[in-house]
Amino acid sequence: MNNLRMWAYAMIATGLINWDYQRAQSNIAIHSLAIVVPGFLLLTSTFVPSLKASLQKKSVQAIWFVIGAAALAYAFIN
Amino acid sequence: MLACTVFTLVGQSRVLPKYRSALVMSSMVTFIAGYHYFRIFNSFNESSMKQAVSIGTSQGSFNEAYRYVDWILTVPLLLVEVIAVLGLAKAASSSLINRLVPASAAMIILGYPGEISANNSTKVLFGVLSTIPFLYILYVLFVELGKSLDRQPEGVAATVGRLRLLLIATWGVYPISYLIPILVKNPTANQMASLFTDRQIGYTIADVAAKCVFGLTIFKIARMKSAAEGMADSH
Repeated sequence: MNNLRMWAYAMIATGLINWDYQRAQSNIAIHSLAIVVPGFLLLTSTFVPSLKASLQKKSVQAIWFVIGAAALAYAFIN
Repeated sequence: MLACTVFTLVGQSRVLPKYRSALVMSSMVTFIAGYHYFRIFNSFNESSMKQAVSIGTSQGSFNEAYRYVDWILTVPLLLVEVIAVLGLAKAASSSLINRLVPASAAMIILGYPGEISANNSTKVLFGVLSTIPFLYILYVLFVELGKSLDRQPEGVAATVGRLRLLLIATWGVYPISYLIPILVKNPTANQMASLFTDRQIGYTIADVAAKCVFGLTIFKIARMKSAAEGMADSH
């Protein structure tokens, strides 16, 4: 669970830095939210008992790994 | 920074599972800092024209405050890493985290107004205010944490001692870099450019040492503790 929280934290932190650096760009809020929101959802899920149970499954963890990797890669190119 | 991220992630199999969270935190710190530097380079490009950098808080200018966003996201994690790798009892680690994290956040927040101010008195005032939580962090790490080191395996206490000295040495570079702009009275344009460059170099060296070298020392402690607890050396 700690690893998932750290994964979520990386998405939120990267999204916030992305936002901060490109404030002048158009639609930057939407671009950065594409990174922050999945991180926020994942972080919240780790504290909700019913969702927490589903996060123990390897398949769910793999999906979150892919979502996180895609979001972090997007942070470098947008 | 990103190489250090990969190293601490890949090296997780070389320590016992209970110490892996410290390595994960270390890799997140270096990843976030690495991404931040990637964006800093972008910002320098955008704010540079004809070998001059526009500095300030307006759009298109290089804003030193960006570094504070990175620090507020990573510095508290650095301190949590130290606690995590020591594997203390839950009550003791919670107590230390509850004191260190707010203190590190206060240290950074109090430094920010001085960083963006052009007034030297304001810089000194907020520099002094920011030093108060820094001294508290040192007190917790040296006095409070010191009490918890007696039960650590042989060699670990000494390495943690060196880690604390590394923290003082690397974090000591930040206030020096912070104060660089006030070292020269009424600087010329060329001197201002040099002072700006010196400050960036100082912050960058401090960041690499405080995040990468610190993370590698955490890895070393995790390895020592894993070996002391029976993990085979072949890992």
